[in-house]
Amino acid sequence: MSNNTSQQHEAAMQALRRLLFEQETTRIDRLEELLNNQELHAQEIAKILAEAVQIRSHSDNKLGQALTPAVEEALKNSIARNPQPLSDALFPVMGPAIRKAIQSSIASMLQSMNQTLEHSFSAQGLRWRWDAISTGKPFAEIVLLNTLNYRVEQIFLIHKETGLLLKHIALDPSHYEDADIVSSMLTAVQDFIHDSFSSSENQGIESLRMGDLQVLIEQGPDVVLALVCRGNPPLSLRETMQATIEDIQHEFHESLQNFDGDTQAFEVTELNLSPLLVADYQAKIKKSSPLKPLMLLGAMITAIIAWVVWDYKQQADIVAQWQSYVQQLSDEPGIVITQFQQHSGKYMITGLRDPLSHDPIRILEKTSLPQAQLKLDLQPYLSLEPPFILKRAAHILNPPQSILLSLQGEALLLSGNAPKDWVNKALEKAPLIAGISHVDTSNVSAEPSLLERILAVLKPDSSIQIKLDGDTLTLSGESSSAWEKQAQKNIHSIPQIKQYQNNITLIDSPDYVLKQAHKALRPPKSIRLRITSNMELIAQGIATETWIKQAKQKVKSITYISAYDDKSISLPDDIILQRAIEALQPAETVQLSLSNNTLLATGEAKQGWIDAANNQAIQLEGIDRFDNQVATWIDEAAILAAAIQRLQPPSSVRLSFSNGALFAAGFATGAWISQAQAQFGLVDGVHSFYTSKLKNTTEEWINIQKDINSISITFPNTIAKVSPSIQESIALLASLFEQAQTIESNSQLLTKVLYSNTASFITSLRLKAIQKELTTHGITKQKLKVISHKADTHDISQVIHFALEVGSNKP
Amino acid sequence: MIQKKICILGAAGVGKTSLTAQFVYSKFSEKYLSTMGVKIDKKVVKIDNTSVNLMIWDIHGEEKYKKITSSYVRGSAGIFTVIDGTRSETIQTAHGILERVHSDIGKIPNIFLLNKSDLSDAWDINEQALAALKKYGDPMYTTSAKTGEHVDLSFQQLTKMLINP
Ligand SMILES: Nc1nc2c(ncn2[C@@H]2O[C@H](COP(=O)(O)OP(=O)(O)OP(=O)(O)O)[C@@H](O)[C@H]2O)c(=O)[nH]1
Ligand SMILES: [Mg+2]
Repeated sequence: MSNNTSQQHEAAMQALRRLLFEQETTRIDRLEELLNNQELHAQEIAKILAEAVQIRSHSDNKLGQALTPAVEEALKNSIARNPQPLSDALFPVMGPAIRKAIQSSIASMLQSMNQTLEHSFSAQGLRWRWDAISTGKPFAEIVLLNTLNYRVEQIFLIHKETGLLLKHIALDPSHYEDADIVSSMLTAVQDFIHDSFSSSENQGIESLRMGDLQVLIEQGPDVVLALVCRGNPPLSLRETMQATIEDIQHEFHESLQNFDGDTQAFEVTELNLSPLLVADYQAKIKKSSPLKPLMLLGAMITAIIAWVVWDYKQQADIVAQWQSYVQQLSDEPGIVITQFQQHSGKYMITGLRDPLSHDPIRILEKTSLPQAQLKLDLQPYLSLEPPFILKRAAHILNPPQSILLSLQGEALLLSGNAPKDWVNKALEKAPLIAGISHVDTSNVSAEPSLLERILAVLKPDSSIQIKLDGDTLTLSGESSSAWEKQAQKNIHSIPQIKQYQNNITLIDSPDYVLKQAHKALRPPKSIRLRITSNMELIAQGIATETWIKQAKQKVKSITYISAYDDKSISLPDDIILQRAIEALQPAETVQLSLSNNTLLATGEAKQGWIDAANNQAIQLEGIDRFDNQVATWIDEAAILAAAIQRLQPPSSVRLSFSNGALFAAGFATGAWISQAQAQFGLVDGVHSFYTSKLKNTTEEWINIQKDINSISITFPNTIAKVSPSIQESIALLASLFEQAQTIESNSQLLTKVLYSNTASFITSLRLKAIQKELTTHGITKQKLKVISHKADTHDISQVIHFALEVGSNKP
Repeated sequence: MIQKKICILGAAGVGKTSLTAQFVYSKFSEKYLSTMGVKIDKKVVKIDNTSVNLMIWDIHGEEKYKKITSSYVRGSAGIFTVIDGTRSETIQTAHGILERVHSDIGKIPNIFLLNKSDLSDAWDINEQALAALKKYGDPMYTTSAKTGEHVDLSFQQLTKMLINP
């Protein structure tokens, strides 16, 4: 029952839930299915897979990495199952690449095939086939190598940076003078290509071809190596070039780093480079007929047999000849042969040899045996056979011809004449010679040495050097001619001297003395020194006084000079001129000049100076003639002053002077005029006296003149009125005029009127006032003449002169 | 013997080839053959007791679209920078060339040559622009490839500068 109830209970709950959550339950069920069902899951992902992959591969490459193994595996599997689809897919890409590779290998194969076919059946071909077998290289390669014909004609070692030529080697060096230009040009071409194709820095041109010539270029870090080849050089040449560059870079590292244009250090690269100067002259092979190999083989066999027979006989002959040579050596004194062996084509001779014995090689040269086959091993030893001992002694002691050497047991006997020196040396040296124990000189007469004899005969003093060379005597140094002459004579008394050379400077010869004089006096260029045969020294030319003085002193120190004559030396012109100027003291208006000892004076000067100069000039040293062209200079003012001083003219007389003439103007008494005429000649510089402008008058007239002149009629400022003081003056003037009429009947009197400030109108008013006043004193307008207006100072005053005409008053 | 590489630079037609020809062969031609790339000549110059084998690189003239590349100048011990006295604008070109050489290679001995001095009628040089070259501190000679005026002297002088730096 309980079970039943619980079941009922459960069902009721179910019904209730359904009623309450009908909709939610279905939704939960659907979600549950979605979570648990894989199939549905994949369908969901498939919806977004493409987008997901795209997003992820944008952010990083993890996806790719994750997929790689899978993809690889997949490819493997695919190919394992069936390669067809993949290869189909790749074909368009792979095809051309493979074709290209195949084409190029076919091309090279064809080339080698041609050559191979050409040479396979020739005699040479057989040999090459053998080479191929023995070296393990393919036959085709051997053929290629062997058919290359080339020659390296020039090698350039070039400094990479500067393009300068470090070393050049050529087959025929005489042809390539411009190797340095070629070197630079090669570098320039490299630069040009670089620039034009902007290739990378380390890539250079590797070869250039010009017709038959090819230039191979290999580069190192600092050097470029260029080979000029004719024909086709093998590839191996490039390897050799690279190796050479490496060697040079290594060996000359320092010099390359410090290269500054001096190529001296690279001279020795010749050793590295010359092995590259290779040539392959192998003749081109013609197609051979099939018979040729057989004929060749026949010929070869015959030749070999002939050669074997001939060689055998030759060998036997040669051995016999060698044996006879060994015998010859053994017979030679001073040579001991201990062994003779023949070994692999060489003949070995062993033994001992005294250095003074005959040379074995010389002996060999007399036979026809080749020296190259001889190996000589002769140890040096000293032979004690008497002839050798004597030879050795002669060799070491080098005795003069007058000495005879002989041997007595172990004693060396010397006999004959010899210089003491030599005997002493022989006594020292001889006992040291192998085979000699002592020396006997009792039969030697010692003679003085040649030099001693020469010294005794010539008695030279210390300034002479003597040199003796064999039979040649050379004297040098300085001596008098007397000693030299004597020496020359005395030398003949020594017969051993066959040649005599005289380098002596004769210190009393004119030439030598003249040279000494030049050294001591140091004459200027303008001086010529001369020496006469009786040793008189003469100096001529122009020199300064100091030099002349010093020379006079210095000349005394020169030996062998009998007299010194400096009378013909003259002073230089400028000094003479300077002296003349000092002595004559010319005025600035005078110019002095000097030529050919003639003093020329031009310009103007006072007579006194001219006269004094005429006296003095020719007494000066160095002046023979005085050409005085100076004009007399006249001081007119001084003359005038002197004239006034002497003639004492009255104040009415004015004197003037020009060109030597004295002029007088004005008034003077007859007495003064005649006195002046008598006296003017006493005034220096006055030649004539003109009095035409002088009026001869009486004393009174002159006094009246003076009085009239002393009257000055002065008007005050602007007023044209005649004041009482002016009236007074005018009255005085009028009375003087009256007096004048009685003395000088026909003349003029001049007086002046002074105004202050002058408008011309006022001036005329003033003048009228004066005239009016004068008429009151009986002086008519006709007798009055206004001579001139004259401004004294331009601001205030003016002066008017007017003349009173005396004569016209007379009836 | 000492060898030295020198370069002759300058605008097109200033007379680089003519100067070289005058110096090396004592020849002059009025004909104008523009240099392509480089032409190389040599001459031995004696300074006191030293003989120097000058390798003279006569380089094509600088033009707007054909600048002188420094690879030609690299490794040269000295240069001439040539100016045409009848064309003031070649001074500007000289500036450009020298600046390039200085920045690519560094300062090397240089002499300015003011060429064509014989053409006094056509002479056209802006003194101010010329004075601006003073900043380089390099000597300048007036030359004529035609009359040979100062040509030998200039090469001698540059060589002196190379061996007594
Ligand atoms: N009168 C005169 N003419 C000159 C002188 N130098 C060169 N020329 C002339 O100028 C022209 C150009 O001379 P080039 O020497 O060829 O000039 P460049 O500088 O080598 O020219 P590019 O090689 O083009 O850079 C030629 O016609 C020469 O004859 C000179 O000193 N005087
Ligand atoms: Mg040129």
